[in-house]
Amino acid sequence: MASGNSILQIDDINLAFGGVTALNGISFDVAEGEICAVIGPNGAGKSSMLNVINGVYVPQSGRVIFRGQDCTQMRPRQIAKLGMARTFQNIGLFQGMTVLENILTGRSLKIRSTWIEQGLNIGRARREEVENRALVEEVIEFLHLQSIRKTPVGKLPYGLQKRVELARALVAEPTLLLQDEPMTGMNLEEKKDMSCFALEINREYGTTIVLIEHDMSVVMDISDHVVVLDYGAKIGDGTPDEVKNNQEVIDAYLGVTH
Amino acid sequence: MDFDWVFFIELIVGGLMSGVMYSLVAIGFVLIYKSSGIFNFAQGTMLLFAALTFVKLTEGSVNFWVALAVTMATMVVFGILVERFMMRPLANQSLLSLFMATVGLAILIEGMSQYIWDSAIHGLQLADFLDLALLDPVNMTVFVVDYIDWLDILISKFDVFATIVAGTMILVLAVFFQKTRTGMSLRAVSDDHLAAMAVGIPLSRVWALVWAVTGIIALIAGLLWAERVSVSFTLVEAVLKALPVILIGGLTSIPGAIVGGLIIGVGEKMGEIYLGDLMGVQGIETWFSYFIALVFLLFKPSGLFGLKAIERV
Repeated sequence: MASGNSILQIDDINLAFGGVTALNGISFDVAEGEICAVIGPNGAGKSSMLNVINGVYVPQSGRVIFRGQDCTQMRPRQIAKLGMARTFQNIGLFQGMTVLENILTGRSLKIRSTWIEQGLNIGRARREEVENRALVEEVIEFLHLQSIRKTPVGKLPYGLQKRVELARALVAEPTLLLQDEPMTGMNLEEKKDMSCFALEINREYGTTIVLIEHDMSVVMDISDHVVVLDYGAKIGDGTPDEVKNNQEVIDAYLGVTH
Repeated sequence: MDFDWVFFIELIVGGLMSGVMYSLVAIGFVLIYKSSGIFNFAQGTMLLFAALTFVKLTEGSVNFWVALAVTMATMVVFGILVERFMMRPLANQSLLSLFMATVGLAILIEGMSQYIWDSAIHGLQLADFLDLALLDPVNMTVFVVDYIDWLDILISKFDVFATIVAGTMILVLAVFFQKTRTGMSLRAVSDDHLAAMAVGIPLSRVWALVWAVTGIIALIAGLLWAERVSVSFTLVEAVLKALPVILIGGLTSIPGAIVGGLIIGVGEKMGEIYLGDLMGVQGIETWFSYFIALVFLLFKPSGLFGLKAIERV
């Protein structure tokens, strides 16, 4: 799927918390339309990387360029406006709301009507509501969430919550989707579903995906491009096959006697 | 002894009317709770500060409407400042930190109101102002003690006026926060700051809006209540009346605040008269509302309309 044009450029990112270096001179490019996996042992800086990309953390140095715009200093909301959506490692759903309501919040940035129009349910508000519902229903069907539409998310099992979170990210119609460990804690069946969803999203909507994942078989199956981090540094970058045969990566994963 | 139905209806009407006032104050609490998950300890002092600002302005012979507009603007600026200097730096911090910040805010406002204005007790004759302002064809001059004689039921004109103002405000707020996207954003923001930002909800704007609206509620409620209890630190305590209201209605629900307010309003009047008579004591009103709240909590721990906390074990 990758077309060769890079949609996201990570350029020499350094991030430290106090004296602890989380990311040390990380650079890599993500090509438009590809599925890029960021892998690495625990504490390698994968989640920090994702948080830098969507503006939760501002790095001490380096640049993040998304669709040609430098967004290193931008806040998450501004970056979301540029067409980036994400899911969280520990599930960032709004626990008190139903599945449907959660997914609807994903449309927040697309609302143009004023609160007066919404309060009276006239004009643009009514039109937008119809459009939003249509899109939300499409995504609900796509991810097979029909039967739990009205269920408060807090009641759902972990795997389904992850899926709802994915739905919320999708209704924002992102060009780039960040997924922080979308399959952690899932059984084989659920992992298979999640992998299929990622591939389908990538193929059908042309959405570029950057995901963090631990399950190597999943990573090798679905990604076009793999970036390996270890102790905040990049130790591998290439196609799944290249990375699989990279000695440094093997050492980091399997451990070597020093 | 025959049951005095006229008196009974008077009590109910009076109770409902003071209930509307409680609802208004309770909504102030609910809005902050909905958007940040905390109980706003500074609500009472905000009420006092708003009322005091208004009184001092009018005492300085500023026109009624100008004073009202200036005070409203002050409360909006106040809301924006709270967002900028309290909420924003504390985003993603523990709820306890946020709550403690509101305790600090309460102390700050209290000190500031004494510093800027004074700590004297001020009377507020809203009635006089309104008489001029509204050019009332019906003689409203002393309408604190003036009663409408309707169906043999005596109702204070000021209570009617206060009920209409508070009721209208509650209606506008309810529609705004239930029917618009802002309502949903509020809940999203209180559930998960990070996720709310990531889906593009303007966290800062939502908070500033909520605090500004709460400030305006504080102003209106402060003015209406000051009429009865004067503008002084008793106003801060008056706000405590809203506590049982939100316990009954549920901390997260605007309709709950309305229903809770009415229940407390009627309940405490009934308790004072009938239960007090029965027990041969007076002053039940001050604690009876808490008793009602306790009874409700026994059966509905998260309030009538409150969100039930769902936790997977």
